[in-house]
Amino acid sequence: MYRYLIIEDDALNARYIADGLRQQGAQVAVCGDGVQGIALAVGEQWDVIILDRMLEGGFDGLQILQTLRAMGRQTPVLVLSALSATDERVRGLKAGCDDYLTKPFAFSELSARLEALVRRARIPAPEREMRVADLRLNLMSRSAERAGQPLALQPREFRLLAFLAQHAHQIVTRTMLLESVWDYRFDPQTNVIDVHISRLRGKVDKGFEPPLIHTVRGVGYSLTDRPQALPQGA
Amino acid sequence: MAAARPWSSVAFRLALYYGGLLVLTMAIVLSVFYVQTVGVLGARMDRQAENHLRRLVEHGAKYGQEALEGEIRWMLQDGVNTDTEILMLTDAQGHVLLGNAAPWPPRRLSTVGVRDVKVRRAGALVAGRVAVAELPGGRLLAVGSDLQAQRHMEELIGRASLMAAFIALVMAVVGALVFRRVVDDRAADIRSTMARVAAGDLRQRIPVAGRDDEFTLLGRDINGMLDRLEHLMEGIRHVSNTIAHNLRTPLTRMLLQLRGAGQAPAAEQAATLARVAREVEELGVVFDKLLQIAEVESGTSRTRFARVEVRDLLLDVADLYAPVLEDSGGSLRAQVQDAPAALGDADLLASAIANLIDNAIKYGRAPEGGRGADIVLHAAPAQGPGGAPGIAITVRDHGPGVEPQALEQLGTRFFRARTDGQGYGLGLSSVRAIVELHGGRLEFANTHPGMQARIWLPAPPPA
Repeated sequence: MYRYLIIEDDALNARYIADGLRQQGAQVAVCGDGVQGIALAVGEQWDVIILDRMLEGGFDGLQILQTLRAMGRQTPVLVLSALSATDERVRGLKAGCDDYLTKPFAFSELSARLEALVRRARIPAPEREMRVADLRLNLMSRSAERAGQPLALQPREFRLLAFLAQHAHQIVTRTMLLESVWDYRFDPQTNVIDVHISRLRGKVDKGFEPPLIHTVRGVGYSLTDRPQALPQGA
Repeated sequence: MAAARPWSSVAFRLALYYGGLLVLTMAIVLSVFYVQTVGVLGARMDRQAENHLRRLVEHGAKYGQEALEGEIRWMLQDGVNTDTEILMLTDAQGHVLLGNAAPWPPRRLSTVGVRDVKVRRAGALVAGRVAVAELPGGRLLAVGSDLQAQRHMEELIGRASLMAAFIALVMAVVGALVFRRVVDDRAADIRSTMARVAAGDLRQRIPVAGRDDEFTLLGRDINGMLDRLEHLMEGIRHVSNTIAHNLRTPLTRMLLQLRGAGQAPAAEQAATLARVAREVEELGVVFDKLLQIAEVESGTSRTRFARVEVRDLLLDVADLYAPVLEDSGGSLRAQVQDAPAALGDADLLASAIANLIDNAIKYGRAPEGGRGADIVLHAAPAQGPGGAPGIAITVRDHGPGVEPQALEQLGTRFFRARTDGQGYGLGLSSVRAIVELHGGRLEFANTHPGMQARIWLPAPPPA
């Protein structure tokens, strides 16, 4: 069971996030106060801390983050903020947060990112080889095969597949793909990601059973052989 | 608007310091002059005394003591320097045998070199300088002159120096006051303008004319800053107006839908909620875009500028979009082999190009046939305004283009050339903001067929 700490002074927003996470079976603590937030963040073990930038009384959430990091705690932190400017994002990442999400956001986006953070922290450094069902990726030779047959992938397609494999059985959103695989921080209005995924699907799933690349409506994609276990678009 | 006390004025203090420095320099120069002059005079007197003495001693050695005494007597009466010269012939004990003066207090003079001596002459005590020699029989001969002339000269130079120093001091103070006045007058223009600006009138400008002196340059700089400030303020005003309009409309629509849903059956309620949620998400996107544009326009991201390899950047974006176009039966060709580097923010530039391609995909389909757009992405070195070196990046489609009168307005916030498709009219204004942030230009043209967006960016300064 995952344990999340939400430090957010907007009670309604906090409850909404907490309810959503509890429905997924997580244990959630909510705290609306900066000072108490530091105590909680340091005092207990959490899988991810969800931190609002602007807390009551002009308290900046980044202070909590800096305190935490100064004490040598590596708990993953996802910063929520209404400050969307690129500079603010850079400041947050510099202060040591692991991910940054601007308000308003869809719950599904938050959930996918939290999942990715937890797995990243729990699973040790990426292996040389990744396996999902009968799909194998060799990170050294940058080659992939399915059911023993080599797949002819372009370099970018390999990166896309590798990212999906790193987060196998989880949902990854289009924004996460754009940020991690292409390193872009803007939202194309065209469905560029969908097209790249459908090309990848043509190479990975065509002629093989079962299909591994699944679309989660309204949220993103997942690489898995157990699609029924995925939470459907929240 | 002069400073209350002279001392608080920078101009006054500077002029005064400068004047002080001048006076000091003069004092040093005059002192050196004085010491040198006095030294030269003294040395000449010494040499003269020694010459006279040697001549007399030689005369005595050649023609005997009688002749010497005769010569001395003659010198005392010859009328040459009679009132300043000192001649003394004494016996071995120092009693004066012949001469116009006697040592005071009376004693036997020592014979070493040329020396200062006090003598009594014609009843008065006089300071003198004499050369002394011993003659046969222990007699002493002293020849020299009093120091009247020397003292007189010293006094003269001293008085002149003091006078000069005083005049310099007065000039320094007067100059300082005048400088202060001049600087105050020049600063007054700037201050009065700034006061009016501070009071809220952003259209005020500092009058600049004439020579390119410091104040004119400062005035120009401040005017430039005011131009920018005014532009930004106008931008903010414009944005608040458009935001008010463009956000209130959907907000009203949502409110009406929610109110109406109250009495509707459950199934319809669910549909309404889903629709409203989607509208809220879209509003969030509009907000993000507006904030991004505002951030770009504020110019703060310039601190992150670095050298950008435009060729790689364009190939990357083309790589992202090419599949989309190919799948819809269109094409994206990148002709960017000659693209030089630029100075900027790679992320923002990529976003600008992506925006232009997004637009071309949406509006750039050829009129006949339902297939996707054919887009050409081209980049090459090009000269900008004033012949400045740089790079031109063009995105060209083969669609119907836009109305000529709409070309001008493309890139204005919330302006949409065609209202049939989706969109908020923010994409191109974010492109424009990004291009302007980079000191470049954005132009649109109908190319018959199709439309072309052209971005010009200045070349990075030579490393």
